[in-house]
Parts: sequence; structure tokens; C-alpha cells
Amino acid sequence: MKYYETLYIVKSEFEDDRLNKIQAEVDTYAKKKGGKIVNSYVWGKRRLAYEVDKERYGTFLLLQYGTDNTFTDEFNDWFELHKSVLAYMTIRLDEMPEVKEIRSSTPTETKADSSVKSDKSKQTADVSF
Amino acid sequence: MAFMDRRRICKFCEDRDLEIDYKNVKVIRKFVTDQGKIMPGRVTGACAKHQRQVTQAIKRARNIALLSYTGEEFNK
Repeated sequence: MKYYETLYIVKSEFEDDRLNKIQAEVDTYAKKKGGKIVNSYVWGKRRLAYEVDKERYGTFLLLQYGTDNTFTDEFNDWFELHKSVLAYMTIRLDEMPEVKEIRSSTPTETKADSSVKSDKSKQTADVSF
Repeated sequence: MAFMDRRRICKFCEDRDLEIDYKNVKVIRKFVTDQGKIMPGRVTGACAKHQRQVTQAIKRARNIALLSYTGEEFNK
């Protein structure tokens, strides 16, 4: 089985119920195409490095799934037509990702950073030259 | 000797737990200049293997708007 990770951005002003709706839509599509979802959660709300569709902030959602029949091209086409999604990116993972606990509340920008840190417990940002 | 040996050690070889990931912007931001350019391995001190991984992570982060292509922040 091959594993993929899709990170997609939706407008930051969307409330929880609308976010959940979009998330459910994406998950349903992935399942319909034969994907087995490993993780699907709201990664966080953060400022974008550059404007995307005139938006300066975005809510990032992460989907990790495994599949035997690759459907990334179809998935990308589907994302392209989805009006609520500002940007998306799918990458291939080398191995199966760790299953995460899904947080109920939407994390803020700072929480998004800390979630990355907690992934790799000893990870520090002190990389100086 | 006129020149001291100042061998840089790869941060990722030193600390095996420091994982290179495009979502970990705090780490990969250190490998781009103020202009948003990817710094060469000879400057960062990263070994060839990890420099390749950093480069890929930076390009992915740029694609999904986590890192700027130009280093310029848009007008606030």
C-alpha cells in the first residue's frame, strides 16, 4: 500500500461546522476512490506566506491516507473544482504515518507550530550556523 | 597556521531526532536567505543527503504558502 499526505487550505473565516463539512467531503471522496484514511484533522490556522486568492490567512487541513490504486490526479482535479479550497498539495510518504488523536477544538496558529514539535519530541528550532 | 579548520557539522547528522519536514517551517526557515533563496550546503554546513532533503522541504513549503518564494512579506 502506498501512503499519501494531502495538505489543503480553506478560508480562515470558516466556522467549525463548515470546516467539518469540507473535511467530511474530502474524506468521503478519498474513501470513495479506495483510500484508507489514517489521519484527517485541522492542522491549524496561520498566516500565508503570500496571498492566495486575495486571502492572507488560511486554515490548514491535513489528510493522510493509504491506497493501492493511486488516484492523486483525480483528487487534484477534484480539489481544483472545489470552491472552498484555496490551495492543496499531495505528497507521497515513505512509510505509514503515525495515527494521531484528533483534537476537537480548532487549534490556533501557535498550536499548529507546537503540534509539529510534539511530533518529534526532541525537535528544537535552534538551528544556528 | 593562518587558517583555522572550521569544519561545519551537519545539524541533522548531529541530532537524529531533528526531522526535516515541509510543515516544520521553524527549522527550514533557517535554510533560506532574507530574499527567500535556498542557502547552499557549504554555507549551511548540511551534508549532501540532508541538504537535498531540506531543498525538497523548502520547495514543498513554498508551494503550499508556508514559505515565501521571494522572502518579501506582503504589505500589512
